[in-house]
Amino acid sequence: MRFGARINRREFFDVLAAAAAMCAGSSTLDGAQSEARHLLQLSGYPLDLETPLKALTSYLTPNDLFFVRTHWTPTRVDSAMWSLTVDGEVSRPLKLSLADVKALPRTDVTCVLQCSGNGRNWFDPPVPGVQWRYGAVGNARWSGVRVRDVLSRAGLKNVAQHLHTFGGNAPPGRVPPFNRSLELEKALADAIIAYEMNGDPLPHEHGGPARLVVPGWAGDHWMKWLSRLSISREPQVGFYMETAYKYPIRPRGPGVAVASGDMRPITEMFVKSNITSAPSRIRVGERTSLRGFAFSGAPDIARVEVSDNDGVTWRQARLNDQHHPYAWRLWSYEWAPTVRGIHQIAVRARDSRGREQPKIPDWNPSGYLYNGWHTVMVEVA
Amino acid sequence: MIGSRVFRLAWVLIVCVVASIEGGCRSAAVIESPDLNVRSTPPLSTESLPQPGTVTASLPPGAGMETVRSRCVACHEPAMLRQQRLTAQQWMVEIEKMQGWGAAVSNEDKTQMAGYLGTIAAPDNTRFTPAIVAPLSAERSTRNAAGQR
Repeated sequence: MRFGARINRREFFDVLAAAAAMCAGSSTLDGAQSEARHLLQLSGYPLDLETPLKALTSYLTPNDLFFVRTHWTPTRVDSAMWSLTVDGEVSRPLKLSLADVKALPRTDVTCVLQCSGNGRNWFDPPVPGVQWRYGAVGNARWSGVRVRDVLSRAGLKNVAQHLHTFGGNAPPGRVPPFNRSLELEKALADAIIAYEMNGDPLPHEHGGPARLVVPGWAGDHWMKWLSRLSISREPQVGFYMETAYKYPIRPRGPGVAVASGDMRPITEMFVKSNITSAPSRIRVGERTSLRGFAFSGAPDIARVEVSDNDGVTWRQARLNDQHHPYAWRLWSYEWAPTVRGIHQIAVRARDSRGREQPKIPDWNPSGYLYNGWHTVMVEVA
Repeated sequence: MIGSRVFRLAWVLIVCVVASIEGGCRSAAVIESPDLNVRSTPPLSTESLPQPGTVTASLPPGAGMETVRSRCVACHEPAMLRQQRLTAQQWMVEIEKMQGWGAAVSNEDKTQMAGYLGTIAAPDNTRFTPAIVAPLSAERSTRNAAGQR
């Protein structure tokens, strides 16, 4: 509790919302529509930008409004000079230019990219790191080549188990490099090397000329400025595999330290939904459309529910038909309040594997994968 | 539940009263964006917004500020420090991690830095708000990526 015994940080801002709504006649979600298109900068260097929720209303998130996460200031790579090395447990090591990669069969994948730290700001007690709120997430159409098509040309040896990934984001001093690995089974199933994002060349800030796309898995696996794939019998070692991006195998309670051996690497995202459109004020008898998005590490969302009384009762929202595996579902709910007062609107989702979004997620030491109910306050007059 | 609602409403009134004291709700220069806690001064136009990467935060004065500025901000924009909500003990862990990674921090510096950071970015820190910046421009993204198109 940081605001006294009876109100937590989140409630404080919810209340602030109601106050702002009463004063100015608008809230963030609807009142800000007249504002310019913008991003929210959490750090100028390294560059960390999140998308305002109100800009996340379309099925595909525009490239210029898509969140950006960087560990360090990356060296820009001229696409004419870029190459991808494939080595390790393969019969024929490769060095491919961008033209070589583009000559392979092209594939499109539309799916969600979410930073593993999205929502870190809401964990209590607080944890160090970029204090992402809601918008380190977006849905895009990624185009490129399947990892399996590249690796089949290199010839995988029978002992191959893990795909080590390397990017061009060189750290300063003795800071460990951001080297990662993922199980080969997942990489062969549906990972791609993307060189386009929503039909445009992959922007530099998003990892251009080429990055890894791992549908359903958190962004820490989506190596940007991809430079090398190395096949191994063992997982990658180093700080960013053995210490960072790990999650407790069993929850230990808020603020409790967890030994590295009791943690596992983050892989699939947790089921999550957010509200992107809601009025700050409405009159009894009026109708309004509440809207948002829902996604998961599972291929689809089974159900989204909305509550107008902070989770006491729930009604099912309508899911938009537009969908691809591991993409988000836009949802909407027609609401006509009948009772005056301040209503706490909450949303929760269930995915196609039956996992449901919790009111408050388990705390973890690095603040990964926050997926608690998203709530907004609406005044009904 | 009733008590909780009454308490929330009390907060609404307190916030409104404070806003009124500072110049009236409607005319207040700063509007709090509720769920993201973003400060903005409407109306905004994209052209008037700073470009992504523009440094907008600074370190507040205090004992240890100069040490933190000289040891940390070469790699971390001040906003990265100011958005944290950590105890002095947690700050010490972070500083020692950076020390291990090559940051030029003496043991004498550590105590001073943890004290300063534990004051300006303590667990009750609510002063940070993200900067509103322009969307990424295509020109910025592709200026060193010739040959992609």
